[in-house]
Amino acid sequence: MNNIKDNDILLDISNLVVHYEMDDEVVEAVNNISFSVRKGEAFGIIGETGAGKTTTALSIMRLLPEPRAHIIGGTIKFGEEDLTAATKKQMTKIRGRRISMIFQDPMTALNPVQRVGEQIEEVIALHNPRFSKSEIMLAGMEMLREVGIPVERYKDYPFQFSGGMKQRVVIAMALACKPDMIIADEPTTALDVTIQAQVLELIKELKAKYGTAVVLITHDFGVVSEICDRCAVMYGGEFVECGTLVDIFKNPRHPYTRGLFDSLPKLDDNARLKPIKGMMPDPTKLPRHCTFAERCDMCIDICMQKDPEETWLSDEHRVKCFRYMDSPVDKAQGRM
Amino acid sequence: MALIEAKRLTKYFSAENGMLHAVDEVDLEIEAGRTMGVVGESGCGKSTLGRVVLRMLEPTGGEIWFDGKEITGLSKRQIHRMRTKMQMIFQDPFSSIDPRMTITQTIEEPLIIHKIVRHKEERLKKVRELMDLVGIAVRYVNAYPHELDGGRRQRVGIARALAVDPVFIVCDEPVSALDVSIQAQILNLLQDIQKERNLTYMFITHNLSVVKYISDDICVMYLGQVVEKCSTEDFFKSTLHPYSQALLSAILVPDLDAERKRIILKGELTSPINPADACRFAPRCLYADEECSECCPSLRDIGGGHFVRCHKISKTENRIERVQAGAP
Repeated sequence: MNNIKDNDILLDISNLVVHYEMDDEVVEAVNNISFSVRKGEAFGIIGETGAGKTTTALSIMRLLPEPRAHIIGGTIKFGEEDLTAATKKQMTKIRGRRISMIFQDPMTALNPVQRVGEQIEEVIALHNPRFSKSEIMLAGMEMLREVGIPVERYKDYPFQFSGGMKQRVVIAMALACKPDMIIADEPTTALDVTIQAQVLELIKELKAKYGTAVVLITHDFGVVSEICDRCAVMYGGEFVECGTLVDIFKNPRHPYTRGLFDSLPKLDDNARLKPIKGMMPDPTKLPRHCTFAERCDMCIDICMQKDPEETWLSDEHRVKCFRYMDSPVDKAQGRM
Repeated sequence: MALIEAKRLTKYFSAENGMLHAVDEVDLEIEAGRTMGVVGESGCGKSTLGRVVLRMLEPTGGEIWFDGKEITGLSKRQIHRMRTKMQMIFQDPFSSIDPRMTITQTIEEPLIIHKIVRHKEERLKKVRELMDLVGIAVRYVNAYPHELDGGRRQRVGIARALAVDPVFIVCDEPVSALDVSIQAQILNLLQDIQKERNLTYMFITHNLSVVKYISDDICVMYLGQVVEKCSTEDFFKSTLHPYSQALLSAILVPDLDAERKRIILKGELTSPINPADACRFAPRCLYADEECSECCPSLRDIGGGHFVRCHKISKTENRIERVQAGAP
């Protein structure tokens, strides 16, 4: 399925399907997605609310709210291991040490009644049982310094920090054990623009310094263009398009990808926005034909009858649309 | 003449250890039919400003003028009557409408409160018209908010604000809770309605791309003060205040070829409680020197309707000189 054949693949997901079973209906959250992330690479997943981005992230971490959520099919290979088959014990060893996660809301990701230093130490102690107390503390302080917080604040509580500083603490915790990969779920969405710029800068720096791979989940093309090497556009639980940043930004082939770009107000152009009509289909009632057909301006008969296959346009660029050839090569963005 | 005018408008809140200067002597004029974008980060006082202008909050000082009439001293009852002229659209379409009222009830409530349409039949007709105007299908007349997605709920909020035929609407982050594809739908809708009904907007947002799209004029707030005020065109062409420049540079442009000369501000917002008589942005400013911590700069007219509050911008003649000292 995946055309990437290099040896330095860290995460390789193929045909992942995740469902939530509600009382009398099934939410088809993730439907048959495949992608891989190389060592040290940043891979972005873009999509709107309900597209299945967070479910994908939680599946990798095996943090899905079971038993309601199930991985129905597919594999998640991380290094040599298949995480879908990993036991709880194995996962505990992987989480925090080899993969860690940064959540959207730094206000709720920290324990409000524990000093931030202790929270960082907890991660270090858990994964380095041989460390002495002072070694743990030194490592903790080092981490805090690394994310740009003065060590004097080591013994402060989360409420004494602003949103941006809290997110820095969360990043310190995520990186404390120098994991191979971090999954960042909308890491800057809750932050102000100038603080967002600071935090993205920090993630970029640390990624370069430690060679950590990043899976970045966001709804913002701007954030992706800032950090990622490749990205996927997710819609209705599927990757409708996936490729390098150049593929997606300069030669988007899926009407949804182009629709997203056209919906954004631009700084260099005041033309009327072209929103995508309608809204995302109910994930309990996904159509068996193309999931985007109802909202698509290019929809033809076949789109309402069959689900398009993924088409590989190059080694990296793939799209799930019958009419990918017909997408205007315009300058969808005029940004060539 | 400006439809809305704020003169030295001030709102303080008492906090544990002093007065919190949420809005500090703000001067603002909005011409009829235009949109004033109010930009700033969380805690800068932009939402408070919107609420004080509508007198949803009582100002601590200053004046508000509406259509040539001062409304600062009006009684509660008089203000209540003014509400048919001035309305608000809120940020969060999930908490700003009553979950136990149907869409019809929500939209018709202002018509009942202000005794605009007394006959039930006529009222329902008007509700249909409003739903049609904002693009909610008729099948939702008896639906409850939980049955609607965020975009539709925001449309209900807009319909409710429009029900009383206002001339001025404060839009407080009306699209920031929405997905991009829906955001574009709502922005276009707000623009269409403005044209159709010659509305005046005060558009509060933290998103500069949105403000560029929708506003005619921009004012940037920082810790309760207006630090820069000018036409949108001027702002994006020749913004002067170091804070505005940092805000502009922090926009993430979804464009691979965009020049990325980002000004990364150090630190974060300082406290708005009992601020000292000094430039409030100085602690984070790349250009600040002693002068900046000695006294607070005033909002200066530098010509062409461009106002800026900064010591470091050339005071000679009418020429605008970029801040030089210590430029990165």
